[in-house]
Amino acid sequence: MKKFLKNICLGLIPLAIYMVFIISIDPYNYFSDSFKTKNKSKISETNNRALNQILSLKNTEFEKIIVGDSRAGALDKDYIFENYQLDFEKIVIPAAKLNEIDDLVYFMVSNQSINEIIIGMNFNMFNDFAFSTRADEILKIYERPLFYIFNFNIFKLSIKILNNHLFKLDIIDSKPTMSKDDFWQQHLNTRSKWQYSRFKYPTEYAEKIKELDDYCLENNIKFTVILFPHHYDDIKVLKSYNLMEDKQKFYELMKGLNGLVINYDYFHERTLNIKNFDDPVHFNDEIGKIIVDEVFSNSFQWGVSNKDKNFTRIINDS
Amino acid sequence: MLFNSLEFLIFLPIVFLFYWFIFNKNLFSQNLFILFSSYLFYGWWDYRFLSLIILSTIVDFIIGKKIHSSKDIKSKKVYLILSLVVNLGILGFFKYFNFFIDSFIDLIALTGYSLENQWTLKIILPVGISFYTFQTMSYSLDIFRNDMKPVNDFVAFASFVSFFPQLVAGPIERAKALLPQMMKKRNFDYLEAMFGLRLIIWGMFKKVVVADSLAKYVDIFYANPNDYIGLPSIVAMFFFTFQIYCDFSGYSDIAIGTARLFGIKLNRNFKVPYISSSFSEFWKRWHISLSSWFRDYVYISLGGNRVGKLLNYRNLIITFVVSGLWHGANYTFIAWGLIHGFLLIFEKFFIDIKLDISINKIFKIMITFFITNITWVFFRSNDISQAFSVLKNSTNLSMNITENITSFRGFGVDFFELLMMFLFILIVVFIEFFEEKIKNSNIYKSDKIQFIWVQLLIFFILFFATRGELKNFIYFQF
Repeated sequence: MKKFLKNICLGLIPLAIYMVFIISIDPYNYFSDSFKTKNKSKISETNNRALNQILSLKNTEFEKIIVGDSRAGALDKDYIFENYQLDFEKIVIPAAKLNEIDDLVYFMVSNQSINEIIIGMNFNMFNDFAFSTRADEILKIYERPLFYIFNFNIFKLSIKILNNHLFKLDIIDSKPTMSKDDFWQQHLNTRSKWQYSRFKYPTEYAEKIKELDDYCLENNIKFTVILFPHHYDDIKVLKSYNLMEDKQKFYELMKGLNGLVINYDYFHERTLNIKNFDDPVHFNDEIGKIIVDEVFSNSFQWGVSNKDKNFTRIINDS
Repeated sequence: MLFNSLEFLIFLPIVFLFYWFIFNKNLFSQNLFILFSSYLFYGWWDYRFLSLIILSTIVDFIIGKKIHSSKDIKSKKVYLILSLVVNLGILGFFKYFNFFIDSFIDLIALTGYSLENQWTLKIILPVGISFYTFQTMSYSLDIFRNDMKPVNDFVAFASFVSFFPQLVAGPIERAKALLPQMMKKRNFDYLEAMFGLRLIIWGMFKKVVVADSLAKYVDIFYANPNDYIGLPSIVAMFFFTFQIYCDFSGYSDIAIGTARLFGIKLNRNFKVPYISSSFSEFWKRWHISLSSWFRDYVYISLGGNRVGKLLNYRNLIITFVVSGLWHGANYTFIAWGLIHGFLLIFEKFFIDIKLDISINKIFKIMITFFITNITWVFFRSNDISQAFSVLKNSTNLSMNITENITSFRGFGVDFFELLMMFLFILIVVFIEFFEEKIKNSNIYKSDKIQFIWVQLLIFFILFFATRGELKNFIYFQF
């Protein structure tokens, strides 16, 4: 028996060493920020922006949130604060799916006293096949230290940080190897086609949006959905897959919400101008500011609200 | 309590240490502690259903004695029937009551009458009910057949019925194999314990890393199977074939390994079933404890192969339909059993007419594996029509390569994850095949290699367990 117990203890040593290693490096300062290096925060942030953001909110109290995919990143929270004195926290998951946004919003309302929610999305996320579980994984890491310690990405990241520190490596910002035009065409030919070629109306997502809207109404939470603009080239791909009827159905759903829905994704001089976009689905910071100004001053020149009678009609005008 | 839960991770070492350091004085204290731990393990899920295990235990303990002490065969039969009525009654009520009511109403509807269903009840299916009732029944059946004598030690008998490693999903141990071990004081054996520990880790790897990863894909597919045609359907079928194997054989390995830690040897439940070159071989390698139970107590009781050919075929069909029904109250399980019954008849038919088809063994293995994949579709589908549409869709190869690749998007898994799943399947197949075929060539040649291998498995288990996608064992629902 002694030999058996001794072997078990020996077998646990690598595990203990591993745990000490992760807790010491602690890429996202989950336990403490005692291990500091020149590039640690930059490496960690680049590795997983969503995890970095959510863990950074661990000991913060806030009442207003913006949740969305990478496009929500263009809604500058500092700009909002400077111009409208509203203190928002922003949670952005690159290529977020609606189920993930739903998970994040409910997590936040159950952990904070939230009184305002802004969701940034587009019809291209409203697809039964657009599904991912990254948010769930992130939230579990947030809640359970063991999930953080034994997360394989955290392990890889810890090694990267240590490696960078020991060998005094510099972080090189990667520059795009493709021209904007080439990238634009590649996006239309691959991502846009992939997204729209396989579509199924997501009944479950429609229910989730309605549930969230009802929840906000019942709990006196101001609820706003911003339908982000895509360049018209992307809308053309969508049309080529005969999805306008489904898009119309989606707009009917959004029109019926109690919360405010503002649509920027339609045939408009701004969605025709390539200069306003980095790629067919990512608008630039200037457009982000225009959207922020319209939403927070409640004065819409470009955006069409769901309280407007043209809300559902406008998508067919193109 | 699930084997893959944090509760079990705490429960097992505590029970192990108490068992060997405090309750190790004599047989009675060992068994009493096993009994207490087993009831705690089961009661963790729902203590109310402990009453069913206790009832089944008391009934068969008494009936076993009565069968043995009865002088005439008629009284023996009466007692045996009583045991069967109680055990099958419990099983029938909790597992099949609603199914039979619904089926009866459907049957009436076929005649043009419609009955309003007022009889279906909200019944919770007690975990492991199909396993422990079969285990206790085998005790009475063996005594009836004079294969064993009843025991006088109630604590030992109750420990046999409720032994926690195999209580909820087997292996279904025969009384004559497990009870004698419960009647002897166990002494700690270092090699056995180390073997048990390794088996637990291997079982955990199969369940947590392989089966649960595959489940992510399979569950999404079967939630809306009509959304997929061609390659994604074929991949889902293939993945389920390995998901169910890794899930169930993983559970069995953990059960057998845990039992070894307590000085108890349970029988092997799987012997690399997917290398079978025929279906008769498959059933000697898949869920061995259940298939041998049905062979001994149903097939042979019906006359087995000592009757005419047609009756033999009938016996096979009955045995496999009952076996299918044992898995669950759904026509899909009956269809699955029926298909296997017909496949065995088909094989037997060729043997009976002495038609020897010389096919390469590898080819036979591939055919058997291919058909096994198809039969699992019935096992996994929600209903028969869904099973047929999955099979139909999988043969629809109208999509081009790009469309096929695009259609994997809906699963929320990327290309790397898909590749990893195939790799895990390969690892399991390779390791188990190697261990099975080259028995004397231990792959863990040295302690160092063994140590590194086990450590690797542990890290894999932890990395995957903390992804938050732990799932129940499939066979818990049976």
